[in-house]
Amino acid sequence: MKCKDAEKRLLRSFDGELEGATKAELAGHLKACPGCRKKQSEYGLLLKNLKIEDAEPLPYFWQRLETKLRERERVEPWTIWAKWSRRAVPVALALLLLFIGGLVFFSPGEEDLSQAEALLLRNANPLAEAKSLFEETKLENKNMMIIFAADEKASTRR
Amino acid sequence: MEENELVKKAQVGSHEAFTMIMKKYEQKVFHLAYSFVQDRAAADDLAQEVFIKAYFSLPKFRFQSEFGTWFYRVAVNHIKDHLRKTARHREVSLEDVEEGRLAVEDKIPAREKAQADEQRKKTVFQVLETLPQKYRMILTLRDVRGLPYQEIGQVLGISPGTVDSRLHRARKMLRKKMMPFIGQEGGGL
Repeated sequence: MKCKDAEKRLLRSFDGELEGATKAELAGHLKACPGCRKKQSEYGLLLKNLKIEDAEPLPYFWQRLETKLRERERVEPWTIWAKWSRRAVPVALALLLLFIGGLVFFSPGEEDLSQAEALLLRNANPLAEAKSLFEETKLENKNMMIIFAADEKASTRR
Repeated sequence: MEENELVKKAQVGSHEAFTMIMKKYEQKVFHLAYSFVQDRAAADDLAQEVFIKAYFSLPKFRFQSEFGTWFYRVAVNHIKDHLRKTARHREVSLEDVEEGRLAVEDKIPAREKAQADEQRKKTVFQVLETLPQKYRMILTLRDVRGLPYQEIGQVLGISPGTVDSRLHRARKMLRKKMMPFIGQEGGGL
């Protein structure tokens, strides 16, 4: 076994990745090669020194985190939308459909409306006709206008 | 309640569910951060930032992997960013680590030995900091945190074969950089 291969296997051996025969072969090489034995010792020490004792988070980790989260949510309100959008979109759609349905269902047909209501629905002034009637000075014309208006109302009802 | 159920609840705004999930990962994330910065207060800050990032990224989790893997990936990526921002572009000099060069001697008093051990660790971590980030990352995940190859591969998004070869190169590089501090006799540091 060459020293280069031995180093590769040596490093794998630290992870327990070597199988029986390869392990024995490496052991044989290490026995015969002082240079690789030195490497083994150096790698062993390096890896040993990379092990550290775990510490604990500082006290009140969660309380501090919750405060920060609330602050960030205030700063970035769009994130609240991102969080709630999955629920908000279908709810908003359902409400919109309900509103449209309500409009269709409950809006009165034109035939049920009085003349004034129909005029109001068309955004026209229902008093315009009455105004012109009052403003008419000639009695004949006024009478004719009343007759026509009454006739029109009767035909609308029919 | 299963983890995925809790995640779904947290995704639609349940603080309680989020807290329950995150409490499970508190130690893991803190220890990961501590492995990189070796300072309790700094690790605490870093861990809190990771949780904040996870909280706001939670709606993006699509259940295509284990939640734990996704979360660990968020943590690793955040730590990578942090290290990039705070990178110290310097080589460790002999003056910086004079004490760490001492070889282990059996006859030195216990207190001094403990101090020497501590200094030696400090030296190794100082040298580790000078490695390219991908090597520092893999050495920390494997040799400091002890994560299995498969988990490292999932977290870093690389195959187990790449984990193996990158780890090999990283350890060789660390040893090479440590050579000036390694005692000539018996491989003591």
